[in-house]
Amino acid sequence: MSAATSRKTYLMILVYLAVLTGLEIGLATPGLGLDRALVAVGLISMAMAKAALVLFFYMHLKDESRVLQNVVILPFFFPPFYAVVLMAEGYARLHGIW
Amino acid sequence: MGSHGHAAQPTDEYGTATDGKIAMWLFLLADAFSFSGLLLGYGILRAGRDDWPIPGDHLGIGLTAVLTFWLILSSVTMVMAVSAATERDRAGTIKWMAFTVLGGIGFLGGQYYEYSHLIRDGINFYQCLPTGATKFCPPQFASTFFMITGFHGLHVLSGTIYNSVILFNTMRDKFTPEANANQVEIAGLFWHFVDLVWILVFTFVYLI
Repeated sequence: MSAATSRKTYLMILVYLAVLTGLEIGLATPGLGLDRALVAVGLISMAMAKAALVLFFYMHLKDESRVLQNVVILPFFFPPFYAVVLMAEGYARLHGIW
Repeated sequence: MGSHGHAAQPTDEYGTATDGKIAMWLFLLADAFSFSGLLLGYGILRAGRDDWPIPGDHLGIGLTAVLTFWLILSSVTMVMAVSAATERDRAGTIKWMAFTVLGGIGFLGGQYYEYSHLIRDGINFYQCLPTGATKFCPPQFASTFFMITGFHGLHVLSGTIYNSVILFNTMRDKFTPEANANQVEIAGLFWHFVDLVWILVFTFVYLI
């Protein structure tokens, strides 16, 4: 853990997390008339931003060596890829696209 | 071991991270893929049906938003405990660890409240038959909900017990201050991971 990460920084991250959570709930509120796909993209983007804040600041990954950072981060490129491919397959099967 | 039987030279590839910390990171990586598998299964089931309900029609978003913020707050108390332990502040470590344990207990209490109301209203692991519903609700909606949030709840329970053990060890001065700081930091990694996963579960299972 780096001494450079001060308590003030932790509290600032808390504010960011609270604001993003509030924005998420606002965006997910039914009846706004927004396209659901766009809402989903917005919600996922904000969730990823929150997860990154926790990972880098509260878990101090930003202070770790480059090797450890890569060990932790690089594998996470795979699940979104699988998700897109497999969910697209399920959607296509449902709608008889192939 | 080298070809002449000498121990491998230490490297600085992992910086100042202790063995225990690296081991926890690897464990969390494996655990993260367990959650990824569950969320992938959820996504595939959901994409393959056109009668999947909007989660907010059946789940209490307000209560869960409060629980989400509560868990984030417990992450802050945990990071404060790590700071205190690093500064060899025994009293501060005990105080912030105790708050973190209370945070875990509070979250579990909230989850119990949520589950008991859902089950009372006809949504359980096997079926989704909410009282007075006019639209069909597939049982997969309920089973994936309980599976994912239950698996996460099990992590909160484990983390709360883990943090309690670290708290008592600190109170009993079981380790040297330096070793204790390392123990608190490793426990902190697990607790923050539980928070991080909930951020994603909240978005994918409750909001989208």
